[in-house]
Amino acid sequence: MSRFLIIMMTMLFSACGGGGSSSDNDNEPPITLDKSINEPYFYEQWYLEKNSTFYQDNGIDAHASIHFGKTYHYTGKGVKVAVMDDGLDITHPELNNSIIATYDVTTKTTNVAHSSMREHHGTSTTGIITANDNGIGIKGIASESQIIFLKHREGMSDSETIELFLKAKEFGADIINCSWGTYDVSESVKEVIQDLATNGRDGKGVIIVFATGNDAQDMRNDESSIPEVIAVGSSDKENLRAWYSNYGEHIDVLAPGGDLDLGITTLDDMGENGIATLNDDYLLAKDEESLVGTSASAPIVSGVIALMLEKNPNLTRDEVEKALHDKSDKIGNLDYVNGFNEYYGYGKINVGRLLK
Amino acid sequence: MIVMLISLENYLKSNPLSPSWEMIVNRGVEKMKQIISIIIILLFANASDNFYYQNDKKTELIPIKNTEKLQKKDSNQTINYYKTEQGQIVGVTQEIIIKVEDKKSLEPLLKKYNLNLKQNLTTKLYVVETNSTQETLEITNSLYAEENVSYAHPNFIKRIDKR
Repeated sequence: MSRFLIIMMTMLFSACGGGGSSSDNDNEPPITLDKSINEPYFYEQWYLEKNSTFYQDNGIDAHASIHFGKTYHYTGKGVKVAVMDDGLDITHPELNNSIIATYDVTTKTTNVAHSSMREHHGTSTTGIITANDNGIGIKGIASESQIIFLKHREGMSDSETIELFLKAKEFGADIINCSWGTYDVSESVKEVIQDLATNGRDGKGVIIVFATGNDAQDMRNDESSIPEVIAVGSSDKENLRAWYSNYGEHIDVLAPGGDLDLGITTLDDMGENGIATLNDDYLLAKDEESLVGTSASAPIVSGVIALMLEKNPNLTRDEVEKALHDKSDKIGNLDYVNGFNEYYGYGKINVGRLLK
Repeated sequence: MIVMLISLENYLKSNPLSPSWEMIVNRGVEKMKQIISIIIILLFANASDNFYYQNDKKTELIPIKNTEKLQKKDSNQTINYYKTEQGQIVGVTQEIIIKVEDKKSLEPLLKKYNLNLKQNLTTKLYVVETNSTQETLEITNSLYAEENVSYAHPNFIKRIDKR
């Protein structure tokens, strides 16, 4: 009975335009699942697109996704995305055709496997960007993008952080995804990031994406506060800012990051490695330890930027940033001044509008 | 104490003792002076800087015992731990990151501060090494004050927070 009520309430709120949260695309009907996508778990990738049954079952606002539906024909082909994270399971069948370069800052080798059985973070963030279109598992946002994986570690020196950014440059990265931060970026690291973002890609600027963090606090002197990076916070299934998402004057946009009861479906380390409980190779939305947080939101934005660069490889970093600011949905119940507020940035990204 | 010893010395000059007594007292005074000088040097040696400059702003560092695993795996250097003004825990080793106009500007600084060049990060950014972690902050701040140095800060070890 209660399930029936939830469904009815969800349908009612959907018809009213999104559970009370305002959106620029309220007048556009939510796009329903495209049957041509042949990935078994696509139906529960609620952050990409609406699946009516899954949305109703989980009380998800009709506009909570990034509106991926109209963009299936872009795959990120020819775009190089560097992922800086804790390790990668390169044996995962969803990553078969994606990895073009790897580097571990600790061992100075190409072996970037996770250091312990419980680690999964790098595999999970990479999967959101590039999981292959192969009829198994999930849909990566930019499934034909090329991944440069750069393995960091928990306690890292400033010079090692710089070394990884310079490796990304050496391998020709167009985009660098960083689902991490230190809350206190050093001057030299900041300068190297600013230089890459300004002068990389033959002067067009590398697009560097940082997660703002999950401590419900101001971003302070974090890497994500560097004005030249794209700082990404999280929205939730109610299409509002997620309660944990850090905020500040330099936040750019939000993307779905999930919440404790509904995470972001993506890859896990294969087999018994990793933390998945429902399917050893995937972290599902309702997994006991699903992927939740701005770590998930950042690669969603990185994947979308890969699609933008596939469509127009000549876009500069400034142009990408401006498009993200101008074409995001002004969700939430806070006023936007000149299109911006410190909790939602310029709003939640809308990939359909960005690629129109 | 030094003032007392100098006063005693002056008193002895104006009120001479017998030669043998004078020699004994003078020896004692000299010994006391040496001991006090050593104590003062030791006190200054332990009073290292607990700050550095970031974006031209003096930034305090509060020394703490290591409460987190921030070990640099490929180094045997001693690591001193501090809490920053941002509340983050950082590690300081013998390494300093320094920005100069070019490598030529770096060379006299290596000699002046007895530093080893450890790594070229870019044509302007270098990692240099001090002789001990204890002197890293003090040398960092001296380098920062040098005319040809854009900035210098310890090659901090920081916790990478997965999000």
